[in-house]
Parts: sequence; structure tokens; C-alpha cells
Amino acid sequence: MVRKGAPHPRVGDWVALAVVALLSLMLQVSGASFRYRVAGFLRHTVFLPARLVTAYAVGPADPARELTRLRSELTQARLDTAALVEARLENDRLREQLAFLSLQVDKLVPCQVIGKGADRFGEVLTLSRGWADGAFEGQSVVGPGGLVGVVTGTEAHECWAKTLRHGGVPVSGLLSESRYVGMLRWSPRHQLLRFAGIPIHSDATDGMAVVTSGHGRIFPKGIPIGAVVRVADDSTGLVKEIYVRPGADFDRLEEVFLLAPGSRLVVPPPPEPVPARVPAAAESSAIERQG
Amino acid sequence: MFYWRYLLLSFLALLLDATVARRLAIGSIRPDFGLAIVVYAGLLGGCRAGIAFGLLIGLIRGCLEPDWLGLTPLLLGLVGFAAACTSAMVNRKHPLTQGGLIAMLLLGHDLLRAVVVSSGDIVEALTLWFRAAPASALLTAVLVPAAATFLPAILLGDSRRAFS
Repeated sequence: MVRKGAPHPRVGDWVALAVVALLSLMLQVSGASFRYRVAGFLRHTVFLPARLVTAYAVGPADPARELTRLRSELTQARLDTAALVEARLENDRLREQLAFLSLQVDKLVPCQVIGKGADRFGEVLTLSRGWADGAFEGQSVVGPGGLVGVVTGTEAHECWAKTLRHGGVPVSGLLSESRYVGMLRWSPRHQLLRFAGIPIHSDATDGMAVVTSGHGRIFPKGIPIGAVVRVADDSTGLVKEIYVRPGADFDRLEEVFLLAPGSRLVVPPPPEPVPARVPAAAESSAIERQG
Repeated sequence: MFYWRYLLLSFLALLLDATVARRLAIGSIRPDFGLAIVVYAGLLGGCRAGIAFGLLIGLIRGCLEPDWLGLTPLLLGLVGFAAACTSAMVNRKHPLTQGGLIAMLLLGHDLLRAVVVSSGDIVEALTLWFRAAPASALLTAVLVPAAATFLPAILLGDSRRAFS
């Protein structure tokens, strides 16, 4: 690939640059839905071979399926645990409303992360489920560590999801113990989620769990987000400056789960009381003989 | 035929990004092979090659993050064009020149991108840029020219010539 021709750009080069610039600007200023449609079209036509090289390597079918099932169970178990903690903390206040909490996370839809944007300033995942598989815009994405992000665009069998590390994904969060609600947004400077709007008199401390508040109806209530790692007073003296480390490990996401529509965390029913063991007839007679 | 070569080399860059770059990452800092190949295309192939590579790799990357489907090819096209424009002024075959040019263009590319991503908020843009760009630029500028210089000779078994 040795360069031929004059070193300085010629008219044709400037025209080529202008055409590319015009095309790119038109794409960028067009609506988001148009861009997503164009991206879907390109991925399935011109850049079909590129999908093979940008996709993550997937292991053999059966172990992969088994792994997905196990991760699904683990995520379900962790969500159940989080729900139990929530239930214990809210028990007094919500006793009358427990009927509402008998709803469950109906279904976790497992999907593979099949692509990851190369952007150094945000993070967009390509997932292996699309609108034909039940994925839709605004759907919550969770992983074993907790909330991962939200679906922002779909096509037939793939969708795009922005993670919490994307500055464009604010989340309404709840301090699990003190019940204060605030907004979480990724802070690139600290590489943590900044938890804004928590009043100065709140008792937020390091290690306190943060879960979704359910406000805004994007993320269901009670999904673990992470834990508080830094608490300080804001310069205004009105609110606390709190930073939260997300529970999800965004660098090692291979499978994630989409929450089915209308999901809410479940408080699993209390265990049935174990009846007192009645000795069998043979055992009773043996006891009597010994007596 | 010439443009098929573009396509194949672009796929090679993406393959490197998807495989080798992950292995070479230091924390969240990864080398940017796609941008490096655009720089090489501009440096060695001229303006149109640089722009074409930039457009192609930008569009493929844009498909993975459709929010920036237009911005990515625009910036990478500009990178290819800028690399071609500077090739007349520098010794384009020297690894140090190539490394320096890759670093400078990556820094410029990321600065523009950070300004757009942060909606013109300069403080936030500089914060974003400072966290990600310099380390990535350094890693790419060290790895790619070194690999381009030494790997072919090493793979052909002429290691003495490679390090002479």
C-alpha cells in the first residue's frame, strides 16, 4: 500500500471529504429511530461479515446454555434476596399493602451480549434479543450484580442497551435503609455513580445498599444498583455528595437478562410452618418398650 | 479490487479490536486499532483511501452504537484526511512519526467526540477526554507502529533484521 500521486489534497479529495461529511451530518441530525433503522439495515446487509468479527466468541452450545440457565437462576436468587431485604425493611410501613407486593419478577429473558461499542466515553451493548423476541425500548437490563442498563433501540432479533456507565442513563435510586430517594448518574471523573438529591440530614454511610426506587416507571422498584462508597457534604451544605459503586461488572458482561414488562420484585411467600413430627406407630411402641 | 482490499483491512481492524485489543487492555484503556488503520490508510494511501477507510470503519462502529451513527464516520473520515495531509510533511515510513501522528490524531478525534458527547459542556468534555484519551493514545501509538515494523520480520523468521 504505497502512496501514489501528489501529496497535497486535490479537488477530488476535498469533494470526497465534503460528501462524507454531508452524509455523516445528515445521518447524525436525522431522528434516533431513523439512525437505529439504518444501523439495523447496514448490519444485516453490507456489514453482515463484520458482525462475525465483532461478535463475542460463544462456547459450545450445551455448556453455554447451561451457563445461561445457571446465571439466570443466580440472578433470580439475588433479586429474591434483595426483595427479602426490602420486605424486612418495609414490613411495618407496608403491612397493609403486602397484597401488592405479592407480584413477582415474572420472567427474566436471558440474552447474550453480542457486541459492545468501541466508544471510550459511553457504553452501548448489542444484545441477542429483538422486538420479535419480546424486547422493547425502555426495558430494564439486569445482570448477576444488579441493574445493568436500559434498552434504547430494537430491531427484529437484536437490541441496543445503554449501560449505567453511559452518561445518558439517569436512574432514580433509593437508599435501602434510610429510604431517601435521589437520582444516580455516571460520573466519568470518579468512575462511580453520583447519587444526587440526598438531604444533608440523611444517615447515608459507606456500604449502604442502593436499589431502584421505581419512580419514572422505567426501572421496577427494588433492583439492586450498587453500594455507597463515598459520602461527603456538598459545597452548598444542603445535600450530601454520595458516590455509589455499581454492583454489575460491566467489563465482564457476557449474558444479561431483560425484565419482562410490568415486572416488580416479589416478596416470596413465607415458608409453611413445619408441623411437629409425630412418631410413627412402630417408633411409639419401641419408645414404650424402652420406657 | 482496490476497494475490496479496504473492506478486508477494515474487517481485520475490527477483528483486532474485538480480540487482541481486549487482551492488551490495561484496565479500561484499550488500543484503538480501527483509528490506527485509518491513520495508516491516509498516511500511505492518500486522502481518498483515508476518507474511505474512515467512513467504512466509522459506519461499522456506528452500527454498534447507533446514537453516533453519523458522528463516528465523520470524525474518522477527518482523521484519515488529516493523516493524508500531513504525510507530505513527515517521514511517513518511520515508526516514531507514525506513532506520534496516531497519538495526535487520536487525541484530536477524542476531544471533538468528547465535546459533542457532552453537548458542548467544555469542563465535562475535558474531564471525559482526560480520563480516556491520553492513555489510549499512548498505548496505541506504542503498540501499533512497533507491531507494524517488527511483526512481519519476526513472523518471517528474520529476527536479527527486525531488531537491527
